Amino acid sequence: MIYATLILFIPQNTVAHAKQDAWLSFLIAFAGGVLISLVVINLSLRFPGKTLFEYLPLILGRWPGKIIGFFYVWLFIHFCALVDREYCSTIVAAFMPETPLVVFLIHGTTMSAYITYCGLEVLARINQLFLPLNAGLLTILFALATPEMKVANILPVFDTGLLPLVKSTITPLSWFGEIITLAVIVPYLAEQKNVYRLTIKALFFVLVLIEIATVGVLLVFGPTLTSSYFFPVLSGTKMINIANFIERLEIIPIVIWITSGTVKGALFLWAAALGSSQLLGLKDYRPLILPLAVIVTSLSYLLHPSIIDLLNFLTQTFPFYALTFEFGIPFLLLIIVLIKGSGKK
Amino acid sequence: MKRKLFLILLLLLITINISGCWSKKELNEIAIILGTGVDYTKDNKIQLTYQLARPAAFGGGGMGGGPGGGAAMNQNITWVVSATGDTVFDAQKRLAQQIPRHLYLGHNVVLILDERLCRHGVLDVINFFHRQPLSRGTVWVMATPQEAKKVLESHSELQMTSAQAVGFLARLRTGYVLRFRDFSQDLASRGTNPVLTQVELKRQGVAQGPGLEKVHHHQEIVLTGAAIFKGDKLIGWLDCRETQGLRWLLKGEVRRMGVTIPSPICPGKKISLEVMKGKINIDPVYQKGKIKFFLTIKAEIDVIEQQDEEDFTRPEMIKAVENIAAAEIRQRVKTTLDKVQGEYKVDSFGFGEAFHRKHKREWSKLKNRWDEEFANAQVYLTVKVKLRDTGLQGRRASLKR
Repeated sequence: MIYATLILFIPQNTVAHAKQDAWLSFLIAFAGGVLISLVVINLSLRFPGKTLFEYLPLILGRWPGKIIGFFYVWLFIHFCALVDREYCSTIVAAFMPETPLVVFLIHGTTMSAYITYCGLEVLARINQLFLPLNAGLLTILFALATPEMKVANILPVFDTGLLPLVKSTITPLSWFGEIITLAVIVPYLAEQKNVYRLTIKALFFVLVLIEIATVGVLLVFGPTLTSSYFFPVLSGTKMINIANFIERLEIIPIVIWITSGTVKGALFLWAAALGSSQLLGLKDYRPLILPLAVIVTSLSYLLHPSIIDLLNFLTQTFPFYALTFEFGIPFLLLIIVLIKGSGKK
Repeated sequence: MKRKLFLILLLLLITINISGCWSKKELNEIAIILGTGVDYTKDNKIQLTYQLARPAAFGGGGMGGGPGGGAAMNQNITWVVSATGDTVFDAQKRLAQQIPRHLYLGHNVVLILDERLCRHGVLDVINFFHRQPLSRGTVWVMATPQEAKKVLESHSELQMTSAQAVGFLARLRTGYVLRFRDFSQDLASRGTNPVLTQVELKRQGVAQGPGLEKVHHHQEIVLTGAAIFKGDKLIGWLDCRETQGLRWLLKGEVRRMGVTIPSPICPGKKISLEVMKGKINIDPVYQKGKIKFFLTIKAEIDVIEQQDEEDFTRPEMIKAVENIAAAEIRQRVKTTLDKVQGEYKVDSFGFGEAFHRKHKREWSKLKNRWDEEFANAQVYLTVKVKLRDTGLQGRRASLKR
């Protein structure tokens, strides 16, 4: 089972800092993502067959481990709520401003919950179905937009200097960091030996998709316009007009967003459900899905009053908050494990 | 039993969702906007004009198929409405009270801004067209010295509506044209200033045919040049000829442009050429605080028409025509450059962006006063012309030899 975290959302806040070099910051973020995944996989392989929630108590002791574990459950719930909120807000803002947000949220979470209920295998199969579709659609989309592209829009390279570039890396890094979910998935992978290779492959694939979107949008709009749009990919799609015939393709980004958002939401929901069942010592995680889904729905509705608030949170607060869990804690855990020498070599 | 009940419930739920009728807007409930005009009135208000399609008139023409070429003859195919307000949206809301349908901006073809508004500054009005989810970056933006409302209150002889007609005119690149996305980009850039297409309502031909004797003056929207902006404010116009020079200076905008030159051997006779490919390379040089631009224009042209009797199978003749064509193109570009750089003192050609790409360190010092720097910059121009084809003939037929 190959798994790729889909981080196909909005590459716009990065552009505000790095301007035309945003694509570079994604490259750097990719390197960071690889580092995070190496730490996480290394930890998982030291405790074969055990998820994050199972080996946390082994490393830190029973109660501290459980407490940190509950933080992670919260993190996955929060991730899930954010993902749902992101694509639902997009639909409301760009297409159906009269429809209440909660309608889309209920639909999205219901789908995610159903996938989760069917188990990890179904989740992976659905991803197998959607991923090639989304990657293909995205590629076609930007291939069609090539007449609108100007190479001059991403020149000159390295214009803003090093500091803004590093600043711009933090948000995409926190997205790549969502690979932390691997800490829950690794024990369920069929090929334990190739985990490193598969993960880096998957991350690279994500990078390619993101770069297609970022470079594509930058080529079409240039840095100033790109950073002013909430949904640059959507606005880029609107520019497509081939022979007055192939145009109005906005449905394509929406298909990509909804399918990938559902799968991603389902993955986080699954991680949260599994985590809480393991922490509480339950045999089955399924009874927990419904209450968790309800929490996710209301949470994603209540967390942010508007899309501006959501974007501010995602760009200003989220990276530091997420990176603590994505990088800080796993890194500390690895150090503790190395010092204590617990786990398998 | 429980399972059955669950399935029935599920089916019901799906039925509710699948109909998807929440924010629906049926086709017969929307008013499709084809052209938008914005005027700045004398009492400093914004006058918004929409050219709306009247589907009833469209359908009548197509389905009836009777004599007379459809309903356009007898009834208006569009409905032009306008209202004034403090902002574009304010005006639109006033319009909405007069129009019994949802206004739908998704099919808008042109956005026409009048001269008063352009001189006042366009930033006041264009935000609406960015924020509105339905409007698109592919809309053609144009400026007119007349009233935008008057310009939209016209109809086209060939196309269904005048807005579509001017859209097709723009797509054919018969003059200098610009889309909303490019306009916004130029406005946001420090290295260039926007240039808009100039459109005017002009008398075009005399109406013919039975029943049309009384209609003498048919007016059509035509492209008549370009509008030069400094920042978001209009500062002057370019006529058709100067606009051709402008198109040379902006990349890739010269295809199928005509160039007519005097004959190299026969005084008083002319040769007409068509540009098949044109390219400009801008090479900015920064030396001791002085900015220089070396422009190289490369063009491939075809001979389309000649009045003299010369034989194009002779290589010397080709050389001579190439040289004269280069001089002619050079002259046109020079005229425009002198007017824009010398008289208006703005960089409308994106030279600043070219400078930024090459000298990014110096750019950060110069960008805030780029137009002044540009006005003092020296521009060196080289034109290279290649004669590619001579149509179907090398030398003229119908000549006594």
